[in-house]
Amino acid sequence: MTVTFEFNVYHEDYHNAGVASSEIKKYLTQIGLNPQLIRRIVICSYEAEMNVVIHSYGGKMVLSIDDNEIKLEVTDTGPGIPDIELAMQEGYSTAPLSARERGFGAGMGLPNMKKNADTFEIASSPQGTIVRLAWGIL
Amino acid sequence: MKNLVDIHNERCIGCTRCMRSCPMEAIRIVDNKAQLFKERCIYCGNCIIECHKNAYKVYSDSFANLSKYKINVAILPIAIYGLLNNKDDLGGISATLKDYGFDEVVELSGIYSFMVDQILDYIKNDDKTYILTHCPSVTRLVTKKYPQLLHHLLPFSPPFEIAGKVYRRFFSEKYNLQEDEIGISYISECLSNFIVIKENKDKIAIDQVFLLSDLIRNISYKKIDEVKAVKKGVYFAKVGAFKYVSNNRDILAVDGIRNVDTVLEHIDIRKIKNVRLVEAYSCTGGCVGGTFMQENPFVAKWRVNEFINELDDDVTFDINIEPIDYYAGEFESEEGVLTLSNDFREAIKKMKRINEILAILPNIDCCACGSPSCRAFAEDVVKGLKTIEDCRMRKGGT
Ligand code: SF4
Ligand code: SF4
Repeated sequence: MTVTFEFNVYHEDYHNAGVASSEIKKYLTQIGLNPQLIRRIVICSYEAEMNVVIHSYGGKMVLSIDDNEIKLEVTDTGPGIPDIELAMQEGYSTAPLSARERGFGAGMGLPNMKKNADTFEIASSPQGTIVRLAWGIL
Repeated sequence: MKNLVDIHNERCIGCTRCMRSCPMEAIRIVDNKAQLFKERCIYCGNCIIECHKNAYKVYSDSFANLSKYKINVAILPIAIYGLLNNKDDLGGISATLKDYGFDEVVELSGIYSFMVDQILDYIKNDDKTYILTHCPSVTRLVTKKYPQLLHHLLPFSPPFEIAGKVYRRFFSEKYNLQEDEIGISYISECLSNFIVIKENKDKIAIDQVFLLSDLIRNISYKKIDEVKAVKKGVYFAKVGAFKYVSNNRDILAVDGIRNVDTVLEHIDIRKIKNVRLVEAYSCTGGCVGGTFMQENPFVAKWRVNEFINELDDDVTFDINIEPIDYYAGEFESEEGVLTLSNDFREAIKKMKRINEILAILPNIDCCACGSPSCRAFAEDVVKGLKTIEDCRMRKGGT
């Protein structure tokens, strides 16, 4: 049995940034997942959500929950990450001033996701970026 | 035994106001009457303030209990400073309470001012974001909704509890009596403190609790006692006191339980970092906005400011306070109150069913069904609390 949830995320919508992650947290709490695991998932989902807000034209997040695994797929519609290897380095950031002024864009997004997810995949082209994260249950 | 919070059916008209004001989705309207689901409630008091029919009832303890003790001490809440017009009022209140049968009347500013340094000292050990535990509703919000943030709570008791311990010892020495011969009563400004005391009578240093609104109505001024307040502590009647008296930039002050909820959410998802202490109060304006204040919180704040101007700087608090008086240890998590089922697979099944139901609901959160949102209604249907027919706004009417 799988349940899925879909959330839209908009470019530069700083006010609502985090709302999707909050909802994700709410649903994971409702199914009774261990708080420590929820924490790791939400750290990733928030970083991913912020990345879409800061760097992309907009996108969506899909959370799916089944008996064995939690999956989070984050897609956007571009402009893509030119050099993924560079973007994976801690502290490397291309965030614009508008994001940095708000305390975001410290260049920890992707490294944090990699650290906190059981599996982490990323692919990017000018048409968009896709990040796939998964966590095993138990 | 009576419920801690009773809803009077003959007064309730099922208008949904209280339900919509509840930050925990703890209220439903069933058969046109409000029902409170205790396990979710954090006793913020929003529902009581919102109800225009005065249907919510809570009960002070009986004055008859005072006869059990040789000496009775009344502790006034810090919010009392939001009700005073001048310095003499405090003495008038004290004298009036003595007419009710109390032997000693004390206030909390000394305890609050003492705790400032203890807390600043405690939080300097690491760079965690700490959450102030002066307000029990905030603490409950964390234990029920943010169990992941449990270790961010300061391990300190709320000030009324500290005062209970400190003054019990102080007066038993003063009168040369056993500690259990001293009766300690708290005059509560809010539902939050009131319920903690009612619920934990056997574990807590307070023996009785009375509603401020019940007692304060008849201040007589026949006599005026001398009561001294510590200026630094009086600031704590309102939100932002900690930030103000400690002159610390890394303190985030927030009031109103929904705002507190949002701030905790931001801390939890790490949208906010670099904050050392969250000074959070469930009520608007801080304690001056307490459920039983019967004064507008902004007017009360203004009164506090006026009162502070009249105070001397040199009043200090010189009663001894020990760590055992204020150290509470880790708070216990109440995780599980928000889960759909103890069985993970079962919970997923229910979640799926909730989504299916939600898909045929109008998603306008009109509340006419007696649930606080369409999603909450779908949950209630799955839990068996409501039937799909309770939604009068359904598409297609399936
Ligand atoms: S606010 Fe709540 S308790 Fe008061 S009348 Fe309306 S439904 Fe009933
Ligand atoms: S006291 Fe607060 S949490 Fe409890 S039912 Fe009322 S509004 Fe909800």
